[in-house]
Amino acid sequence: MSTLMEAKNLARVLFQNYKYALMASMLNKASFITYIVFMMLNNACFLIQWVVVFSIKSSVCGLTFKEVILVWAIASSSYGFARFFFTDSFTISDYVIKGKLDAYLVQPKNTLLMVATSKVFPSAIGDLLYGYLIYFIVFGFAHPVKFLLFTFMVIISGLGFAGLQVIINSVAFFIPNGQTAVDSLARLINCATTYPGEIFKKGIQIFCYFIGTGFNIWLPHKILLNFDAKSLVIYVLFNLMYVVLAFKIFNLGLKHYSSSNFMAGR
Amino acid sequence: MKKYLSIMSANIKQNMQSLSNIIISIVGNAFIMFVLISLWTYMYEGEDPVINGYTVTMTTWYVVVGESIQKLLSGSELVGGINDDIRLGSIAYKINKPYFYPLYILFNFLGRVVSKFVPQVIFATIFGYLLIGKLETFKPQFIPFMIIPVVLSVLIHSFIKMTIGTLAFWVEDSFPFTWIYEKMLLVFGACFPLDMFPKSVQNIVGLTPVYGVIYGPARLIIDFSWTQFSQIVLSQVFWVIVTMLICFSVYKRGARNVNVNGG
Repeated sequence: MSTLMEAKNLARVLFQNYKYALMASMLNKASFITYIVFMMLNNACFLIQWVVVFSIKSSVCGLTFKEVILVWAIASSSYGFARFFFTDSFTISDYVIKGKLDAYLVQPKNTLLMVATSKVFPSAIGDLLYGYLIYFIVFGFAHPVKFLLFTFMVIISGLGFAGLQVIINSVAFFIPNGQTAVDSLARLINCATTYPGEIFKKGIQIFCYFIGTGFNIWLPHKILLNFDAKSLVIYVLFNLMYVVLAFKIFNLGLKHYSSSNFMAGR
Repeated sequence: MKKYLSIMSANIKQNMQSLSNIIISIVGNAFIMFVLISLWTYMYEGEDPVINGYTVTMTTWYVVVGESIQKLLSGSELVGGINDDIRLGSIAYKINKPYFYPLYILFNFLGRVVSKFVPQVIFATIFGYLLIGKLETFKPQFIPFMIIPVVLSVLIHSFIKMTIGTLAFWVEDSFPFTWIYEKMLLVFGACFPLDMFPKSVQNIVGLTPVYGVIYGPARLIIDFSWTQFSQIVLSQVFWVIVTMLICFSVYKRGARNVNVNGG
């Protein structure tokens, strides 16, 4: 009963966090909308890349143009989900390096959740919407079950993505001034996410599954094209594992955390 | 000019102190190159050995060079620095200093580029040789002439980004504009040689500054020819002048507003 109450309490606090963070980012409405629209345009630029590829080859790894850009749909929407709902999971290293965690450590709620949800990133809405736009281009409006499956995958991959970001950013707990290392690792995880896995040689594919890209983006892409219940279970389990690992590693890192003289109030 | 060179050399010294960071960041870029090389190697499988005048070796080397130039041009001071100075109000102090603010930012950025240049060239050369092999069309005797378009590219890029940064005088945040510009560079420069696009697209891009930022210098490094050199450098010189004039005039108009509002 007390766990239920605690969860309810936490949900209420998170809701308030989002509400105020969203209100703050919407203070300047023109800027808020510009962020969203430009992020969608920014993502759309990459379509040109695939148009060129398909002008040279009729199919890529047996996939049509629409099937290839579906990778983009999953990557963009799940990234958008993670970036919007867990914005600061992408910048935890900055909190660690600058000693900014102090203000959150004294709060009677989970530190990681409080940090991750303390802001919202307006352009992430552009990412989220762009993925859905691509989804509708690929599948149209006639597949409600597929639409629900896509939405489910956006949430699961989004959670997994946020988890992976926390794991990477937690490196800063263990390496002094580790921002460059964190940035490099983040780039490593992100850079293959918008390409179908099949273009890579087997060794690289295995490596990408190991670092998360495979279970986070490639596997849901395969499931969306050819549904397979067993793969779906594996996909969900791995992404939830990233979330659990994120909490474990972050908490472990906290033991190594020492603040500077940074003063802040929350 | 002497004070700007001092700013640049101070920045080089500062960057050299965190050389390990520069190296980690350059090596961290290797996987992006690797992804693009994989894509292109796959594209050439079962196709003509030469696509639009490029062999697989030329294209993959182009990707390595294009990505390296992009890495050289990366850095937050041009847009992020100006944007923050304007948003947070510190511009009010900086415009009163005995330097011209855009040149101060430019030379700071040039310091960063210079400190990254040698590690980036060494890394790209080793990476390319190990992964792709020798590039037959590379003409080492023209190396000094290959550096000229790289320098001009840095200048065009700096002026464009500083112009975007100074837009923060009017819009709250100028970052979204830079996303589009950077994607244009990526698509029409770093990921693909422009020659892979239809002629009509090539003609349009050829009339824009994007042409000389990544594609121009990368093309000359891959396969140098005097005809291409004159065409690319002429376009670059034109765009350096135009973007510089635009940048300075946009800044002056914006700075006038700061004076009116009292900073």
